[in-house]
Amino acid sequence: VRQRRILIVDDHPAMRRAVSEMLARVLPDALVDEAATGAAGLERAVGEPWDLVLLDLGLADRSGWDVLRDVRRACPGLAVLVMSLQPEEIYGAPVVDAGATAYFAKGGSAEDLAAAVTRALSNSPAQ
Amino acid sequence: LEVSVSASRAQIPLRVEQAVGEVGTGFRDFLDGLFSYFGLYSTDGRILDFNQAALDLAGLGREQVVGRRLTELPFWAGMPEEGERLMGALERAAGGEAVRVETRVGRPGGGIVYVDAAFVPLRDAAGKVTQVITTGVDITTRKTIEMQLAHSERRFAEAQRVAHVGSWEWEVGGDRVAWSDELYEIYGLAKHEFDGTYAGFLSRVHPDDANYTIEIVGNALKAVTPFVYDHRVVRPDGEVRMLHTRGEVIADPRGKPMRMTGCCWDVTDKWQAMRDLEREEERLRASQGQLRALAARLDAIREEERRAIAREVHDQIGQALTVLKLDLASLRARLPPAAGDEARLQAAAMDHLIDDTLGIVRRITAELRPALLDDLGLVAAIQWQARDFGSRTGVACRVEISPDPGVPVAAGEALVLFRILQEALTNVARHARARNVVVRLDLAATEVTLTIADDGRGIDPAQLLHATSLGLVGMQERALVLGGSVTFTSAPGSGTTVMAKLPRTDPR
Repeated sequence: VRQRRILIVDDHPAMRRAVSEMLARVLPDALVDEAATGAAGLERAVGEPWDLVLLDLGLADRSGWDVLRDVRRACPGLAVLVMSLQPEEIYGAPVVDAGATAYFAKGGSAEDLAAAVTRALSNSPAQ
Repeated sequence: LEVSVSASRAQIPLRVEQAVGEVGTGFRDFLDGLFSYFGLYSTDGRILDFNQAALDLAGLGREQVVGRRLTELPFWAGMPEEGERLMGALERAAGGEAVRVETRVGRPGGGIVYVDAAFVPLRDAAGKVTQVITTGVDITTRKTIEMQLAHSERRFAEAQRVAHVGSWEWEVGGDRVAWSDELYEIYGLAKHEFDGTYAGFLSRVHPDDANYTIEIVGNALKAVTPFVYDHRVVRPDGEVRMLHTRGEVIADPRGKPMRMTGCCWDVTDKWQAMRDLEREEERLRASQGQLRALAARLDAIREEERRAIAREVHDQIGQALTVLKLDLASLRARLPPAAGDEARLQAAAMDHLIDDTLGIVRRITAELRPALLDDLGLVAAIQWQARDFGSRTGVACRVEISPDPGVPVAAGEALVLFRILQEALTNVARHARARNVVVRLDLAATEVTLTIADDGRGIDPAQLLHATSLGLVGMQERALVLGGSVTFTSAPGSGTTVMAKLPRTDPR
């Protein structure tokens, strides 16, 4: 089985660490890397092969919505799981409309996040 | 008449007694039958004879007056100077001069009689003055009327002075303009400074009002109609007065204007007060505008601070809680089986606490500045707010959006409408006791209208007028800043409708 490559784009260091650790536990074979800004995240997401990008909406340097659109335009097939603190019932549909593969409301359980990641990977065309 | 009578008697004999002797009792009867007063005096001022009318006036018999002086008669109670004056006239007549005097005498029985008297010298053949003959006529009635007229004129002038009203009359054909005293006062002119012509009047009218005046007066003359108008006049010292003028045209039977009369009311003080009031209102409007701008600025600052706080709470506390939740999950997964139920229960409690705290963070940030208003736009924000309101209060909250907006509402307008919605829903929750709320957004090309209608108990109209506590003024101020308006419709028992209208601007 080919190694899964996952990129976390979030400007909160503790958040990146916690998500990385969670992914390491759930997907021990995956390669997980991090970007700390929207600009760096976009550059790496577009410039390298990824199976999944975990993108936070609330970035400080630029809007997560813009990063999402730019990623989607450059890589139409790349799976992008968008995260934010906003409730899923409000943000879920608009985020998917904007090009995300799925939406995860931060504050959900680790199991739910793991399930969302797994589901997004399984839908990824790279699969 | 009396003078001519006395003059025609210039050549009558020296004494009346002689004349009576000569002419017979017929002449005596004639004199006594006159209702004018007749008297004959010696040149040294003694009474030689009075006719009956004069005796009646004095209330004396003939024998009581003959040989006495005029000043000795009971005529002069309280006015001895009149007697002296008549004695003076008598002396002058004795010196050869015909003298006419208007005088007054006190009737012994009471009352004053005004007399127009003439003193005429009688001469002998050699031309020497031998006697003085006096005739007088009672002019009390005329005098009384004259005095009443003068009094009435004084009162009229006084009334004009008090009311600052002047009257005028213009004889159109001869171009003679006559002014009342008060009108001179109003124009600040002495009598000789006004030439009494229409052109002279026009030259005093304020230059900016002259054409208007010519037009008004011309039209009134042409149509023979009354007129009322206001115009300014300029006094010689440059002071401007405002006159309220009424006039009317008097025409001859064929309709040709003969005279124009009217009055001018000096309304300068009122006019000045009005102008001061207007200036004051202007100042008030300006300061109100400044206050409004200040309020808008404060509101913008407040919104910016709210946005910053919301971001901080979201990014720091929200993220930290999320991380804690993930870390706690990792910790729980690694708890050794020996850790026991107590540790697992404690971890579960921590997880719940984190969930609750995250809920609080979401609520605080949403209230401070709902991110979805910026992220998803006004429509989504309204829908979320309505759903949130419904679940918090149990009041059914329906949202109608019509028609589907082709262009998103600009951020500034969206924020104002959203804040008005929040305020209105807060009022519904606190006061309305409603069961249903309908929130409606109408997006027209040039205007966006947000209506929040509840079926609650309504607001008393009196309360609506003074309802600062309900945040109504705040809603209106928010809308006013963007050139919009908020109206409240309510009556006890029939619910409340808040309608906000904003003009639409380009969202970019």
